[in-house]
Amino acid sequence: MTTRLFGTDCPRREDPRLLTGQALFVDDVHLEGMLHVAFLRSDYAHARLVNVDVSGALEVDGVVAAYTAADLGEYWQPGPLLVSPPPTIEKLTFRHATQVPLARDKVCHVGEPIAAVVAHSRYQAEDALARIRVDVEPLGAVVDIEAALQPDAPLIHEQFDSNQASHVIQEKGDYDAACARAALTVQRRFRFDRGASAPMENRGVVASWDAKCGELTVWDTTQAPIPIRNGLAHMLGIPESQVRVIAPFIGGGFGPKIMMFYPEEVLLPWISMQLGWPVKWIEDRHESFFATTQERLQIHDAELSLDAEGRILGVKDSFLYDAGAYNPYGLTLPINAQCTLLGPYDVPAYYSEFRAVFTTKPIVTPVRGAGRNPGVFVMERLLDLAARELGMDRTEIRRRNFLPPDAFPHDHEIIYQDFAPLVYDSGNYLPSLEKAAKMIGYDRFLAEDQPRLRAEGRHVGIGIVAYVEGTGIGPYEGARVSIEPSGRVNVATGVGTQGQGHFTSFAQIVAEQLGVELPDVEVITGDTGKFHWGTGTFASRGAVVAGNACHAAAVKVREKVIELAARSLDSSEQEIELAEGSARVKGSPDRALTLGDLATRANPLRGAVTPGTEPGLEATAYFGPERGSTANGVHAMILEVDPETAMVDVQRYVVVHDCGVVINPTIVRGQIVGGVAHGIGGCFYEQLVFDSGGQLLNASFMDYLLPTATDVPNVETDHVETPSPYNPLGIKGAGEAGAIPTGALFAQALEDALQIPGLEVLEMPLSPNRLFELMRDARSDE
Amino acid sequence: MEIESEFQFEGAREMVWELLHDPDVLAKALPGAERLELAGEDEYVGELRAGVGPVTAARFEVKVRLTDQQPPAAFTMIVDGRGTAGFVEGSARVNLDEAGPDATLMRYRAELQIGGRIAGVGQRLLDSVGRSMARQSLEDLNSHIQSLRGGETDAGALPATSSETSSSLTRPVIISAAVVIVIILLAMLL
Repeated sequence: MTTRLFGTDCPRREDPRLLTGQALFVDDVHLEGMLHVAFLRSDYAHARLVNVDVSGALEVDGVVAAYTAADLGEYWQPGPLLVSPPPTIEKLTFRHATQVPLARDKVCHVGEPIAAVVAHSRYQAEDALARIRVDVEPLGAVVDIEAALQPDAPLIHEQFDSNQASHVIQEKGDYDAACARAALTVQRRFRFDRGASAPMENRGVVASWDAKCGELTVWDTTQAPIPIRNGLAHMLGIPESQVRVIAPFIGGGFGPKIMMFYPEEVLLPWISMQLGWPVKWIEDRHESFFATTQERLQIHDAELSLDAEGRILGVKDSFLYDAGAYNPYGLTLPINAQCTLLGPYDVPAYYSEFRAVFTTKPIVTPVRGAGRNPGVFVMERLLDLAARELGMDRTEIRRRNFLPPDAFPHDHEIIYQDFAPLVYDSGNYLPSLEKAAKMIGYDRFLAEDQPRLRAEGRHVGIGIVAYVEGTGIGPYEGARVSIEPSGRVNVATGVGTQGQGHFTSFAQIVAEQLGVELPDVEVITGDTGKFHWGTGTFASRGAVVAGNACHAAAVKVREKVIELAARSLDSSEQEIELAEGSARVKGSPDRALTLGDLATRANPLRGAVTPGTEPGLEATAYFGPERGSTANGVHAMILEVDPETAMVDVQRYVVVHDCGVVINPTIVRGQIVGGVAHGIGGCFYEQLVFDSGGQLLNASFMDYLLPTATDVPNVETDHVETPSPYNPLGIKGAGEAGAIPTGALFAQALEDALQIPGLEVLEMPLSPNRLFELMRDARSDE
Repeated sequence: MEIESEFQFEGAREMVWELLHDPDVLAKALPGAERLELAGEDEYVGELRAGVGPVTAARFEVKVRLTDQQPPAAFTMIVDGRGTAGFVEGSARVNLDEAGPDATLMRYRAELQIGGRIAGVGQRLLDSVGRSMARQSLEDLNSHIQSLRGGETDAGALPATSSETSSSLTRPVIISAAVVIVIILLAMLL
């Protein structure tokens, strides 16, 4: 019989290596003669560089070289625009300025690299940084995104006439008409502030140029090794086939590691080629607060119009989006915010407008959620406020506005980040809501628990919110599956892995097709020497796109196996079954050949193969979805607040998630729980605080707080499976979902716990201080 | 960042100024001050080493320019301090008022931009540790005043000032005072 692996809860195969220190991370790469690089970074948020003198650094013991922008010659180029604006949006202006390898004329954010020092040890390199003289002429910092658009704001990119990077309008229906006939219009201003991705492993690059072979090998903590390889080959003028980029085990990506090309990524390979020695740079935690991209400041002025029954007539939103100093990632984030705001709801009229704004702060690119978190926050908060005005239950207003199961595919008539219309492939929202409400005991809590706790003087509240997440976008990924004469199955795919469990889930997909056990499947990800077609791990797409590519390649190999087995066993293809590592004739267990035997037969040393066939049991396949698949879910929370200290305690957290067909429930659960932890961080702990001079005031884990195990509750999860029609496996992504609605949920639960009239949580993140202020202000308004 | 504070010396204003005039006294009273020099008209250069919490023994080059001088009551300082741990830029207004026959009230108000590592890592510690360091420095100066007042015959822990009673406040006096204030401000920040 065939072993069922797909969809089962098998343990993550990579964990023993990860947990016992056996996995290779970039910093584990030690090469003979390897030199170490340290970067001098700007202390100023915005300044003209008058002079950079590295001569003092060169006198320091152990220093081999020091470089400024002037030393790079033709190699000094601004990075590529990674995502161009969707050509399909009509009302769109866009201009871009991208990061450079080393600042040349001016610096545009604190932490922007100015010079690089190469030494025999990182210690020596760091010491030498102190000997570099930098003369600057400070320019005004641009921090506040509203002030940034004022005519008197200092101009960050002088080739433009303002700090506005983009202005986009997307519309559907006639919002003004909808508003005119509305029984209720709720209007508020919402603010969602910046946070860091804070991966366990910071970024790092090791580059090694082998002049004799003309080969460059780069170990990089990137989420996109193949585009990095192609880009480096182009920049350095060497053939793509002579560049190998390896993204080994990576301690968390969360989005910023999809950014290309970071200055360090561009410089390390070049330095290795200049010096003829391997070079290493590992980002330290302090650097990471400036040198790695961040998210997610947006300020929304939004309104929701409803009829008297609480049905949405339309939404109008105008928001500002902080792009940071450079915008290589184009408009992905604000478009995600714009699109995801609509959520699982039927919104007949929508007017959404945004302005992307350059500021003198670190670059903004996706961090888990990628713009969706503020969008969901705005919509869910508006619904809560409307429900309150209408005297309606919070679940009821959502129930009334959910798109019904027969509404799919549903076209929202606006354009999504992948340039295609925002079409939800599938969904069934009500079961998620009902399941979550039941799991957390919503009705009972409101009817019994909360009044009882109130009477005891405790402030405990409940929250429940819904969201969708566009996942699994194209363009494509590929995979190669091959069977060795040993019977071992190799799977190679181009996406890198940052902890998502690909070594398990991809193996499950392939093992299921070939009738082998998981230990017989070796998965390789993120090594361009092994597979060099694809884009990367982002947008919750690994399982969807690469997973389906693995499936397609496995199906092809399965066909080859069956064809050869039928021929070898003198049987028909229909009679062959694959199980326990063998191909056998159904009902005749004696008539069987192992996959290893078949692999040997498929690759004979003598004799002849049938003309027109390929040797071996190997196939490469690609998968590119027509469009992304839309995951959805409902999160619910019970939260206690101490009104004296403004400290919170998340007592229960329930997630009901629909990511289509689940490959491995444990892995999906892990993604959800990690996302929730990230989301809780973004509610009450993590906030990047900049002063008016553009200085980050909490650039260490002493002051930038991450939620710890005691702050994150045990997350109770359940799944609803609505398969995506856009891929053969019916999968939807799950990587970001846990973090997306958390802010909205937290805000709702807080208000419910405190029940202070006039207390509205319209911003994220909060902190005990900020919550105290909100409570005080609401009370003083009473 | 804005800093506003005051300190009362138990001594006549002339005495306070005399004390501030003596670089040897200052160097002993102020932690981390390694060098104080006149660099030009109305301009002073100093170097100090200071460290708090995770920012250890950072070296700063400090430039101070005096403007808007109203001797002996007040002056403004333009401060430019740079080092490997970051920078401090801004201005400070200092007032010295007579607060009685034997008391001088120093008030200062500074608007400073702090950047680099001291801003990113030291922020949380600036206030409390800086304040205690500044307080300590000022207390040291004040006790020196007490020892001077205690008797011309007693040499005290620190040498007596060489200058006799100066009838008018000379520019170096003001500049010395300025550097003291700057270093106190920096000490509060570091």
